[in-house]
Amino acid sequence: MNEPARRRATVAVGVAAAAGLSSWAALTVPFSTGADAVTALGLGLVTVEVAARWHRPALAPAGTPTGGDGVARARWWPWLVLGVALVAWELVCLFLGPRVDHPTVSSLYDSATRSQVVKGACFFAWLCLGAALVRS
Amino acid sequence: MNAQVLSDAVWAALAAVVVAAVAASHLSRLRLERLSVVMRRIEANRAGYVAVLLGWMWLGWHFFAR
Repeated sequence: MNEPARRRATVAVGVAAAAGLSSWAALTVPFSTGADAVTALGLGLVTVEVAARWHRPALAPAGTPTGGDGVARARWWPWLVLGVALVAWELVCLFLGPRVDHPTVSSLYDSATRSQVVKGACFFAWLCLGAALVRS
Repeated sequence: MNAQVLSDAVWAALAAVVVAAVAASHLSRLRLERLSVVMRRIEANRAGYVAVLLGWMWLGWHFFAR
């Protein structure tokens, strides 16, 4: 099997495994053995892959203007401002309470994941983030 | 306007700003770094990579197991 075909097969197996785990996760409830098991499995798979690739050199940041060649550098600080705003509002809601009036991200998530489809999709997205970390 | 409506409105506004920032970062004339590039810069440093990895782990455990 050549390299592109092997790569496609790996991606297909990974997506199928993630879909299977997400379906399982959608059927679990927090604080149960099933929820612990499916989450630990996702954590374990990513951790093993990260450990296996630990000594590979990290990818260089994608080519963005550096400012040294006369091209203005893209700004990163708006992301920091946005992150601080999100954390600040989360803390305001956390300490103001009650949750029904000031929902935190966790309580919004709890409301949204009363639907098993949404919960499965969230788990799938979390696994995709983990896969992106492995490739880094 | 009661507290619940205000809180929901702030969350919705923050979510809209995130979506707008992601869209804006793909327009080169606005010179906003793409989120993926920012993340890759953080992960280029080994301590940053470990911090992002631990954050991802905590996120999964917090939302799906606990």
